[in-house]
Amino acid sequence: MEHVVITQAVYVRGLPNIGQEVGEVYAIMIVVDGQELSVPLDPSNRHYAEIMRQVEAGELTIQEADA
Amino acid sequence: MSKARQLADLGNVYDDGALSNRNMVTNGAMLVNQRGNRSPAGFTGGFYAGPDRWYVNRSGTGATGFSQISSTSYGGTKAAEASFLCASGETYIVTQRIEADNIAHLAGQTVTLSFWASGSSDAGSATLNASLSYAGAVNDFTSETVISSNAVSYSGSAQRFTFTFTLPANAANGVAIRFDGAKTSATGTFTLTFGGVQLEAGDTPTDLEHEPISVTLQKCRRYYQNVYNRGNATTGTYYSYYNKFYGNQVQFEPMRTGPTVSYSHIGGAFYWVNPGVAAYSANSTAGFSYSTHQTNAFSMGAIEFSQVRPAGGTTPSNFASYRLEANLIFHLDAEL
Repeated sequence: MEHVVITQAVYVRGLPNIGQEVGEVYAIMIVVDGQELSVPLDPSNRHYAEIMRQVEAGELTIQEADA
Repeated sequence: MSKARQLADLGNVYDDGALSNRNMVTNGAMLVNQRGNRSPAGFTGGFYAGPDRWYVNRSGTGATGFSQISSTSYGGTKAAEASFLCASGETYIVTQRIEADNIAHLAGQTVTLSFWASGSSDAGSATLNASLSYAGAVNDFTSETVISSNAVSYSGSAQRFTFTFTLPANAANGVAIRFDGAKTSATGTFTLTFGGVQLEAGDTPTDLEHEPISVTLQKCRRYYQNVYNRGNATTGTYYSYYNKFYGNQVQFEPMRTGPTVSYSHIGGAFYWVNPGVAAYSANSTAGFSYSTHQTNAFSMGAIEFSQVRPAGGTTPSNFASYRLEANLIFHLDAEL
């Protein structure tokens, strides 16, 4: 995927199981060109691959999710 | 003719690809347009819009559009129209990436690309090439290697073009069909109209394979699908501990991989209600979150959505059922 400008990236947590304080992280919400996209943690997803490339390059930081 | 001969001939017909499923291109007839057209507008990055499965990219930032049009001059009843406002030297491309599992069996073999195309430039001149490339790794088109490229001598009228290629072993990674070129003089808009795209085994182009639109749509939904979520049919649950409503919506088709999800709020209010009862939240999209859960290798899945309760209305009960009173379209994108 060609380089895209990601202006925000936040982890998304699912519903906590009984006994858990917080749910499992299962997605990353990003903002691209003003549009919110929910990206699964799937290496075959082209958006996720681009997020990881930018994180490794030090170009992007993913913010922690709310509980 | 003996029965044995008839059976042998029938087998040859199948081996020669004269029956269905010989076209490796999805939506080559441009029938499916789930995202809708993209009218010419400033370019901020490569995009999927217009006819499904076709990806548009370019250099520069000039107005760029990609649309489905009605025409019987391009092998069927529809065609794709791309427009690029370019300065001299700027480049453009429309491409379709074929998944490894759908092309690996043809690695090392001869294939033929055929299509109808026309082009025009309102100022200066522009080139057009038809090429195939292979992905740098399995289904990873971050880098591509062009196998060979052919100049397309387009005119203002639709013509059918055919080119033959020999796919190398690396074509097993996935192959891209590419229509690319450059504005070679003056600033102006180059308009490319094309359709009836077919990539098939062998060195002889056959007639464009016509398939029911329902089949094409099903194929396209492996890579992109819209899921309509009408407010009065959506159910969810309220969990007081987290002060959140949760709901889910099953997707139509298994997808290539876990999809990226976005949504459009196309009508109605946006609050949680019980049938026939007043709202249990304020009318607001604040705190709305969504993603997909995929269950297996075939990516059967559902969209899970939740919302921190916007304060307002009647206080909901823990674990009670509610529905989101909003008409939404979820957009699921698992493109290459």
